[in-house]
Amino acid sequence: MSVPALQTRDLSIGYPRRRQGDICLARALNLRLEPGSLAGLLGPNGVGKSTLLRTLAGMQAPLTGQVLLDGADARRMRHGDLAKALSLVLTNSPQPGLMTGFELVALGRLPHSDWLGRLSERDRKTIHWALGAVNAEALGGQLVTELSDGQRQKLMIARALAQETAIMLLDEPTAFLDLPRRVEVMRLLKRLAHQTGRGILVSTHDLDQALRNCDQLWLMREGAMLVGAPEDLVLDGGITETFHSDGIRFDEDSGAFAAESPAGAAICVKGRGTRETWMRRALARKGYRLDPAAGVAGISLGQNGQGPEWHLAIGGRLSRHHSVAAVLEALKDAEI
Amino acid sequence: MSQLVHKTSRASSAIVETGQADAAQIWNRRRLAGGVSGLDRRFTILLLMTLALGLLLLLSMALGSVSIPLDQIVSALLVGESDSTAWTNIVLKFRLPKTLTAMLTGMALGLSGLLMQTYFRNPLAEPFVLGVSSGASLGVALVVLSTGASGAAMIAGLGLAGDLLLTTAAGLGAGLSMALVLLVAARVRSNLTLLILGLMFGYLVASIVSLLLYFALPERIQAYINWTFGSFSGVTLEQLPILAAFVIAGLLIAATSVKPLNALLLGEDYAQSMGTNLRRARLRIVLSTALLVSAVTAFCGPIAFIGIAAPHLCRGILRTSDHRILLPGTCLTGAIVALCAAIIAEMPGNNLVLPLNVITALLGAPVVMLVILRQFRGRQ
Repeated sequence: MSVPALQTRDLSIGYPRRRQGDICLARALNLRLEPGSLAGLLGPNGVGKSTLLRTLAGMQAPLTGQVLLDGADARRMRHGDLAKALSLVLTNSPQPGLMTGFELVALGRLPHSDWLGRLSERDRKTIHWALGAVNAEALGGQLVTELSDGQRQKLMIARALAQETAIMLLDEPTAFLDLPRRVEVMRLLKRLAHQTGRGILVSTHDLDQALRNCDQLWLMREGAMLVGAPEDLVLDGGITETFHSDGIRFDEDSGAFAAESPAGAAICVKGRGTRETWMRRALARKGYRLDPAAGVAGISLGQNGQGPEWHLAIGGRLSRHHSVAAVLEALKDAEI
Repeated sequence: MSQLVHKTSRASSAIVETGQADAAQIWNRRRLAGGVSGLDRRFTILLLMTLALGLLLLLSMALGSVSIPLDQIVSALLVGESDSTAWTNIVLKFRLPKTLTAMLTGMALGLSGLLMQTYFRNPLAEPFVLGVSSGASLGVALVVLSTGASGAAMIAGLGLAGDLLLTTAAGLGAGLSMALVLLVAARVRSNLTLLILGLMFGYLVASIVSLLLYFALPERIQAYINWTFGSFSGVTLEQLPILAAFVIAGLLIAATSVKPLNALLLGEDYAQSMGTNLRRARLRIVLSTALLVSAVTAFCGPIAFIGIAAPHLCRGILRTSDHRILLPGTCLTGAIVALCAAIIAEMPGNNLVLPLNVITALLGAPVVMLVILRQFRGRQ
């Protein structure tokens, strides 16, 4: 096994308090982040994901135990050396005032430059490479204040890349971004991890994207951590348990969250195509129970002269409908 | 004639030289390396500002209750004599120290305003947020308001301008509050805590001063109010090196903090992740501000407005947040604003002298409003 880029040894995280005793969020953590891999940190709100990231980043002291970067204790490293080993991206991309995208990314070179922060030719190359790596060359000449949240967050990631660290930690970098941007950022992180050999740890609430892109998941629960390949964690029920809450359950078949055991009448939808899938989702949304064998009503896809139409069978009576909404309306009229 | 102006402007701006030489080198290098657009423009603007500063230095020595021709000023400065002994005396004994004081004060206030605005990430921050001027005003209030009847008579007799006692009192007050701020800055965790503590300290001291004023005799209150108006005329040529030493020390400390200042643009968390030692950076920034502001307040009184306005003006003109450019930029802007205010307050050709603080804000505020509005419009 390769040397982990980042490793923790019996790490306990939390907040020290003088009188009432420490608040400990997780203890005895022995984690490994391998070079060239993307790890996803998942867990419910308030479980301590940010505290863990802050502790790993050296912004907060561990209660006990150690964080090792390439084998060296992070607490004993100087600020400048730590910044050459580990970079950070946070949820909020700040408003840094009057600077261009290039100047923002250039801040990532601070740990490598002289006391005035002058840029060498190599620094410039690295900055241009980082801008290219996140597909943001065009943003280099624009004022940061004129960019969208997604564009700014991309530049913050490019800045972390330009810092040229073996490890990148990202604390919910996609929380304020729209769905296509979230997909884009997660795929970008996967590509960067694999192509540049960095060890990247990203905390996120986007379970779907984490399952699709991460090489490893760190599932954080009250006081414990489950680590494994995403698929293994789905199959052994780890994800279902971690995210279990009243009325909501992780559906291992579809890989998404669903309402728990709907109480409505059973309906049978025949067929397996796209249209049938969306019909099933519409029924699930309305609280009907889906039964593949039989039900009080049966739905199937048919054809007429103009195109596809829905056939709804209730107690031997067949009706034809041209849209999903019309089928739902007919079910409601039949008081099902 | 124009040659002379150039020569003198270069000579008299020698004090800013350190910062500018470094900055100039960077720009040249970046330009040669095919740097980012806008750098040429910024370099040109800084050069123009330096020329404007030189011109204002001369004007400030030429204009006043008596107008003195420029060539006579130059000869008085270089050779030590001019066509009239009175002119030589006015230039060397009054206008030279006043002009240099205005320049140093403007530089110090502009720079410390920039430091505070960046450090607290707050456009409303100014050099006095940490309570240094409050400390100084308490020192002055104690001297002016609590000395016995003879003391008050003495102060009134000497006139406020040349009074060493007030300078000492203000310096002690500023120095003590500076020590207090540094002590607190070394201990507290967040910059917001420091900001609130500084503001509270200011309120506390202001209320003590108010209490002293409440029980004081009217003529002494007048003496105190005169001090709060601020003045560049109170520094003698002999005292000037002390002021200069403080300002240069503050400048040098600020110049070594360029990297942390740029990193702090992204906030403390990001700055730390990019290698900034937050505690050390804070101590440097606070120490630099304290040196600059306490010296200025001791010698010139609480000069308002320049500290908050110069950084905004400078950012508006240079259109950057890079402290490698802003540092020399705010020094120049501050010095220019201070000299303009000093010239106007003298009411050239008239014996009237207006209070300095009235001029700085009355004429400066509309200018800053214009710059800010223009910047805002440009963004849309």
